[in-house]
Amino acid sequence: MKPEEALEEARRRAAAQDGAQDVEGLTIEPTERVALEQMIEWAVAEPDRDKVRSTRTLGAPITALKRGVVHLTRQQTGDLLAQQARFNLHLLTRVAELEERLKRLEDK
Amino acid sequence: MGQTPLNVWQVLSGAGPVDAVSRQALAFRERFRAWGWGGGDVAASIDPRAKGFEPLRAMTAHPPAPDDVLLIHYSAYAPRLRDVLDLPNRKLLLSHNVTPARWLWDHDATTALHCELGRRQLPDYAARCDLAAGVSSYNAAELGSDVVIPPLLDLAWLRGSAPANPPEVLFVGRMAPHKRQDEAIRAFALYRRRHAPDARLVLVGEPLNAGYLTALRALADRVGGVVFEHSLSPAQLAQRYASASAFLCLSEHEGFCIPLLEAFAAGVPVVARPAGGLPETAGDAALLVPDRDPAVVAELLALAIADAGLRAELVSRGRARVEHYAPERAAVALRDALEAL
Repeated sequence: MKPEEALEEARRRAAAQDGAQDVEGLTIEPTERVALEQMIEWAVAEPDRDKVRSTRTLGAPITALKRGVVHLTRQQTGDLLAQQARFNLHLLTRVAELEERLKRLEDK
Repeated sequence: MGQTPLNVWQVLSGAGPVDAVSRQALAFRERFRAWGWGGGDVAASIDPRAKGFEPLRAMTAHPPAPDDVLLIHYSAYAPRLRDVLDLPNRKLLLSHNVTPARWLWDHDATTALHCELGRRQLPDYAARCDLAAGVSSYNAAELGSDVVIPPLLDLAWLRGSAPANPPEVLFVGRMAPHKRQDEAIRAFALYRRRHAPDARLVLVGEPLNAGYLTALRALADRVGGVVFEHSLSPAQLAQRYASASAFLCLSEHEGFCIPLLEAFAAGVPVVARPAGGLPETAGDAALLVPDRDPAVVAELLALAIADAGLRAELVSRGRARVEHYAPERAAVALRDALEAL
């Protein structure tokens, strides 16, 4: 078979089979437009200590040190994150209000 | 060709141990040395495992001489590269492409943000350079350019193919959403069920993050026969290519896709999705499958593995693609672009 004929042959064979049995689990979908609810969820960042790690060959002690630093500075980083989340949420609320007003005007 | 040796400073947004851009920069440097050219290689961020790069601040603290040339490898957002654009030197921007953020928002916010900003920043950076080029026509066209500097690839480390029995299907690429290992696993599941119950799928690549790898593993556990590997040495990677019966790439976005050429060099037939710059790299040597139906991909895999005539033709065409991308040709394009600045 020539390479140029292979795709049609594969389609023919696939069509001749019983319905494909899909595998459940992770499915990737691109995020084309983020919903407001999703943005509100993202607006509040929460540090995950498990994501703090080192890529060095013997990185375990460095990872432990980094996690310790994150723990010890949680008061200050928590305050900074709260300030940022406050701004994010207020901004999103304004956006939601504007969307609503625009919709009302368009409906008139 | 000009006779005056150039000093070329290569500037990367990030340097890593195995990524294509860092490997390209090191290959370029080797070629510059062979031409008697000087300069250095710097990166805004450097993975501790990466060798051969200096921090970007080393260059901005001691700016290059006025006649030196800057070669900016652009592959990700890097705010600190802005300082480099302010330097008075002649500049060439080489785009390796930036992944569209829409594939990453749900899986890694930081990477997605860098990709989004990177794609927005790229046209501005290109406009501020004397010349913009891409590693493929696809990448160059995104910048309104027709200057192509293909990757400088030494594929001699890949040995001939000795496919494993039972069959092994291979994919090499970062474990990230846009590479669609999830679809590869689903297509492999059908291939395994219908054609080769003992087949294996070998997925080689650095995971985007631990969470994404865990999700992929959970999917793979439902199928069986899927192996995840990363941080392989060149010898180990060559062995994976050598034992592969087919190379399967269902990536949604590729600027060039170097692993495709590696598969060709190893004599492995390729089944791939025609996304981004991949069709340009593949030429007529791969079975390109635009279909979303995993059953079609599975059947195409089966044909590539079991049809001896088809396999031989694909391997032969693959060798021709490797010759098309011979390092000497790429070196001429590189030298011409730099000397034309």
